[in-house]
Amino acid sequence: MPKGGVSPDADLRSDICSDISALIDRYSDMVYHLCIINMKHQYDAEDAYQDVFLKLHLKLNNKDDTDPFENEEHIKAWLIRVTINQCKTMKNTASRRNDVQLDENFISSASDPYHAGIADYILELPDKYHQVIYLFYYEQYSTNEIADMLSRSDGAIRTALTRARKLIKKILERRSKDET
Amino acid sequence: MKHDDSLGLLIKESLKSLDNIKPDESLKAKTLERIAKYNLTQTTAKRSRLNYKRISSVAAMFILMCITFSILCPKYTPQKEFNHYNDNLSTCSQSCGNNTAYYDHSYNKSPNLIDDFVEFFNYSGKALMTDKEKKSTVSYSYYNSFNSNIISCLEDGISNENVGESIVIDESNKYIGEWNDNKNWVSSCSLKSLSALSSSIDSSGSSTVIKLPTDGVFGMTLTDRIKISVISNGIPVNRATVIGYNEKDCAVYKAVSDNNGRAYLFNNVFDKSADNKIKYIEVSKNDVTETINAGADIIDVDLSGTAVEADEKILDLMFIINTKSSMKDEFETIKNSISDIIQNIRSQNPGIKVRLSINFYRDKSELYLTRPFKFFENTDIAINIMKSQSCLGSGDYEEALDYALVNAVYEHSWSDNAYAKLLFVMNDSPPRQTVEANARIIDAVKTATEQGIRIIPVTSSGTDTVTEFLARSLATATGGTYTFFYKNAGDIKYDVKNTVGNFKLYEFTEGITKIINEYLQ
Repeated sequence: MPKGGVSPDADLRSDICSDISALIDRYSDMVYHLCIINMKHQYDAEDAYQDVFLKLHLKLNNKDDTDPFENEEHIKAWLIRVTINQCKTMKNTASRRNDVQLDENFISSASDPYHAGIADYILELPDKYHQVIYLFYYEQYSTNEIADMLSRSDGAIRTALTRARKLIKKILERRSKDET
Repeated sequence: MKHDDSLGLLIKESLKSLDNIKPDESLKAKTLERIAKYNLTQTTAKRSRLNYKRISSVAAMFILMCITFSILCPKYTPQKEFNHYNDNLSTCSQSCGNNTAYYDHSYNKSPNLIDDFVEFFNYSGKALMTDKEKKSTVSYSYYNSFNSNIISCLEDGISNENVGESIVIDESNKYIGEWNDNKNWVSSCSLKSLSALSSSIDSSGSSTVIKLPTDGVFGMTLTDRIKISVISNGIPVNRATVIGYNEKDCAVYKAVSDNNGRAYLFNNVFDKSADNKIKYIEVSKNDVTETINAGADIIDVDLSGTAVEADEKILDLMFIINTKSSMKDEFETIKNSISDIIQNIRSQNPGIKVRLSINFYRDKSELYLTRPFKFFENTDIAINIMKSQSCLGSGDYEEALDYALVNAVYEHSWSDNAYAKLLFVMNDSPPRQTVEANARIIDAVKTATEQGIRIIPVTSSGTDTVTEFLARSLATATGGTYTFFYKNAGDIKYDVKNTVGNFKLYEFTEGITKIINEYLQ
């Protein structure tokens, strides 16, 4: 089961689904991560984060669609898709802030320097690569599932994954050369 | 596709660094605030869109109803049900040997009083349950008979105001009782007696021994009190600063008078080791200062010359609510009542400006410790925030009330010129009894008292004596009042408050409105 998608208890699930604040608590980290790695700007990421949950609230309260989600996995996949799209839309608008960029070593400053440094490199990859890497390795989705979420073919996701790995490998080799 | 080779594992390991990056709790709060604001704008827009449609459809429905009613129910008499109800009431009253449902125990009768209560209420419950509206009648006045200390206090200090009146309980509503230790104060009694009581008996009447710290609960010992009444030309002075000094001219206790001009100072509350006994008191407002010796328990101070309130009335109203699963019923009650409470306050206090802040807390191992929201002048936003929350989580008994209190007092912008600052605390369990938690509580209580923030706990029915003691201490120290949920006849065994004197029951909305009004009018 992908990371974060837990709740075997049906009663608990129905309780959670009826309450936006519980859903925010549950998926907050995931949405925030996606916003941060896509926007690379803290304030923009926070705006995107709020927009995503507002959209979720609207979806849950849409009278024309009384049963919008089949299960928690459905909610999670929906949130991933909407977050990525939201970030894409915001990036394309002219009103993006240019004042406070995310610290280049945003992740490095938060955890052990070696692995965090590599994570920084990974997230610096082009969007089409780091999104796939994140969903595959961090959220542990299969390429099929990622393809569904991003409305791309399974082959395209596999190719992106392979190219992303090659890029990371190159970065790591260059890094070890620099260190020696 | 699998990539569990060394590169894949390295990527996985590296991305784990993201675990440390979490959104700030304030971002979640902002998001909820935005959703609440959105709901509000949508409701307003929808309302205006539907206005025209509604008027025409209501008129049509009314005409249709009139026609249907006149055809189907030509002999309808609404008094019939009412009379039936009255018959039941009189049957019950006769069986109890009383003209009302008032139940008066002799003081010495013990220890099976609980059973008597149950029998009595079961009887009255049965008699009235047949009513279609499921209404029952109980007394709102009790006497305590469990402990001689309490009884002697009650005999001396408690008035029998309203004893004998009855209240009709609608089982679909929630009720609260109120007990104000400051109003019912008897020297060396009240809370001290509660402490004595709690060491031998719990709130359900069993003989369980509850261990309380010997130096008071949560570091507070509220037994030695001085009541100050501040007036100016015969009119009570609100928001006068009252400071108690010890022999060394150190300020040891500071309070602010309420709308009745009352302020309460306590000797040796927080630190029994130091000699913090109050020797003299300084009362001031608007550059007028009076100094008096602290020789008596009750002191009147005349601040003639100081202006009596004439400016805009501002009410700072805050709720801090424990949102663990055990509070689900109580939380639903406040959610359903808060709009009416605010509306009542506005209609009964014309021109008042209400600032509302809603805050939530759980515990360290839960989704959040505290979830605070600022004061909103547009109270609908705060109400929407409240409605977006729910109760979840179980775990251990104690909760982070200490953190919630500190946050409430320090992290919010209370108005300097508020006519009343009221902090309602809805909880059903105490914080942990650790040195750090005690320090946080004492700190919050001291500051609340100094700023004139009145703490008004609303505890769940069936809370234990430690929680009750803390709630009453918070209320007493800050000039607030203690309230508690009261369940209906079926659960009476756990709801007889054997630790307070005669108390009055109110329907929840009515009770909270009445309490708020007492600090405004």
